[in-house]
Amino acid sequence: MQFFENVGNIITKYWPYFLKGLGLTMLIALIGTVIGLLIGLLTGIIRTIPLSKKKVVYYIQKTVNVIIAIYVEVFRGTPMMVQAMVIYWGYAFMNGGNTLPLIPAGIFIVSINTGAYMAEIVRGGIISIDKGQFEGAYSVGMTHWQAMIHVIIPQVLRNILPSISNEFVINIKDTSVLNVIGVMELYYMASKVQSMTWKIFETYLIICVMYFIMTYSITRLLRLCEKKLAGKNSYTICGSQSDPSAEIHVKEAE
Amino acid sequence: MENKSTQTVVELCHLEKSFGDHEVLKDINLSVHKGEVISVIGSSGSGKSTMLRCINLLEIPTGGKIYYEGTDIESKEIKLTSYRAKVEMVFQQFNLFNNMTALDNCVKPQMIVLKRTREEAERIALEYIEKVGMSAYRNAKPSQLSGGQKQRIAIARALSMNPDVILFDEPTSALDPEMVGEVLEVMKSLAKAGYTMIVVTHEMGFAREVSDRVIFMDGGYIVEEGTPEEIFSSPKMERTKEFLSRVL
Amino acid sequence: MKRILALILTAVLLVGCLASCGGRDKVDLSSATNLDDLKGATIAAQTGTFHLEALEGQTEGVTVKEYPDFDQLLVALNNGAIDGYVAEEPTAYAVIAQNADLAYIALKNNDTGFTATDADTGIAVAFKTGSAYVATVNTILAGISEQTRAALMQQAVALSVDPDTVSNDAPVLVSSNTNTSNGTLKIAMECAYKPFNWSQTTSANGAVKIQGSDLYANGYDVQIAKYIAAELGMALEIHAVEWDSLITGLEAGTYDGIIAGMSPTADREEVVDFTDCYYNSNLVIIYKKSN
Repeated sequence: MQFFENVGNIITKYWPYFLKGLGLTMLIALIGTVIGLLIGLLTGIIRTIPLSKKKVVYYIQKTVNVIIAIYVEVFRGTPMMVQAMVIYWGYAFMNGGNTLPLIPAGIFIVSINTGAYMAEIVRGGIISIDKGQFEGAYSVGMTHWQAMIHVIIPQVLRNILPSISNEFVINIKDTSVLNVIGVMELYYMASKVQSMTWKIFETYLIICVMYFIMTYSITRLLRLCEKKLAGKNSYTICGSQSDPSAEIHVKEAE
Repeated sequence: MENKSTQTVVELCHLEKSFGDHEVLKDINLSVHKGEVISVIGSSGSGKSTMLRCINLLEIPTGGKIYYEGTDIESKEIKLTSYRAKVEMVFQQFNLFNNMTALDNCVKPQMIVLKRTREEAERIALEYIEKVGMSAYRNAKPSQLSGGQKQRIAIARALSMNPDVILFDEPTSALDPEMVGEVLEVMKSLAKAGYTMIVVTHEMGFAREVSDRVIFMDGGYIVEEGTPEEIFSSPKMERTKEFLSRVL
Repeated sequence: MKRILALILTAVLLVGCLASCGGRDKVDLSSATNLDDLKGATIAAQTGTFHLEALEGQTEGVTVKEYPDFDQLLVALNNGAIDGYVAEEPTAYAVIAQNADLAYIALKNNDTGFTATDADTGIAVAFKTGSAYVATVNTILAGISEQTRAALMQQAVALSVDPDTVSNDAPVLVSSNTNTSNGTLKIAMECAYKPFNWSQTTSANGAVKIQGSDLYANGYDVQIAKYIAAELGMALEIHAVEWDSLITGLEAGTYDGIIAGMSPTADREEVVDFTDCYYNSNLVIIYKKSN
């Protein structure tokens, strides 16, 4: 059939471009998600620091919290495509026409955008942790920072992992909006191939399949991680130091 | 009880705490001596737990002072975190770290707060886990333990920090009746070993048998204090009598 | 039971949708020669262009449709959603060269076809407002004769069919100046508008490497850009930029000029300066031949 022939021809001729686009899409989505998560964790920790009694510190904390709140609201409340245009061309206007290098610019835009969402996800994760976990940590003498790093964040990460993988999948798809500033990710490559071949349906069908394979395998992979992080549901009763066979393996009831 | 010193470890002076308009503590004065076991009894809402939480600074007092070995704990001369490490707390809801095994619950705080090495911390932790009879379960996660087992690990965690004072906030109230015994046994052995303990409890038997001093609180005040004999056999105040007649 | 009901409902909805799409009566435009012959047909044009403006203002009895992208017009025509669409004559050449079952009505501007001025259908080079390049480039453009322009366009159309295959024909427009000591001339275009500018995978037929990309640009605009740069004694740098960002980037100073098949409309004149037109084209209607 003519259609499959067309698809075959496009793939044979342009596969390096699709592959490059795919690589860049994955790179931007992955780094963007990781940096976004770090931003989320940092803002989450800062926002949950108990307010100080000292006036100066108190006002600094309040100001920082307001800045974080504005950041979250602005970046959550505007489309990433618009942010990309504003940041990329805004920088060019302020710097005499010099534009940001495209790949770092793409990563930056995805990161701060994801960061805004992650901030809320992490905040929700921290709120959902039992207050007793904080009190337990404080009562043994941990600082807020230590309590967060050693006790709270590990539990938060486990709880929000489904949301993180969701953000990652969203990012894989949403990097496509970066084509407006010319980042050569998968969608951009497809639009270029499409302009060369004038085979709009065939070209976009190819990347449609590519996007799906990416997101589907990522979802599976992260589901596996979730299971791993949930930990073994069995443990060992240590019977004797010298005789390992005396150990009793206990499985937790589901 | 053998050689109790008269050295004061913790002292509360005119301690007050209110949540908004609601006054929970209204002038609490108390000296805790080294090696002393104090039981705090009283009906719900009398301010017992709040007093304990104020001593650990989980609640910030709204009036009065708390002295630790003569130093105001809210002053700059003492670091909040090192003070808390000295005055450990055992909670009604255990508050074990859910992301760590029983052993790590006792090891990590030592490493983080006291900067002990893993080996040293593990040695100390295992010693106390043994003491509370939980050696076999050291690799279990909190979610895999029963209430009584969790509370024993929580006690081992507190002991591992080598504290000067241990605060018990209704340690048996969240337990099934058949598990209360195992936790009280551990606490009795600690009392015998000479630990300084403040125990908020509804277990009158424990208060009577183990404590050096019993404090009865009501309406945000310490209404009466004395030896177990004095409080339980010949209470002076009418409110104490009334309370004891209800619970005994 | 519920599931079966849902499935049936979905099927009904789908069939309904498909039925509502396919019901259009197609109009054969093969015998049309002027605007009046378009009556009753469904004709499309690209959003935001003079093409659409002309289609709406200068025809009667035509169902007008608009699409945001040039490529979508072609898809719409191929799948029968429209009877024809407005395009510039060179584009029509290029499209027909690659689609054997398409043809176009060779309308002549201000005659059988649309009423239009040079600013409407001509294309010019854009520079930043007040740029000294405008006058110099006008002199250079004046040196390219009408015949050369036609020949250059003919060559561009021929090359656009299979851009990566090396052609034996000599390039039509070559500057004699090879000195590039006057710096670099940065020119922006879409690199996606055959036969004016397109992307290809090799440097065949004098294509120029696109800045920061593995692709090469070629076409009528690229050859003009090469000529202008050479005449100015400058090296050429091609930037591939989305259509909507072209003028923004020029204002920001990211590149020096736009050579992108852009018409010098009044709106654009307000923000940038245009040179004289370097090509004038007729607006024509591309349609599908009936079997």
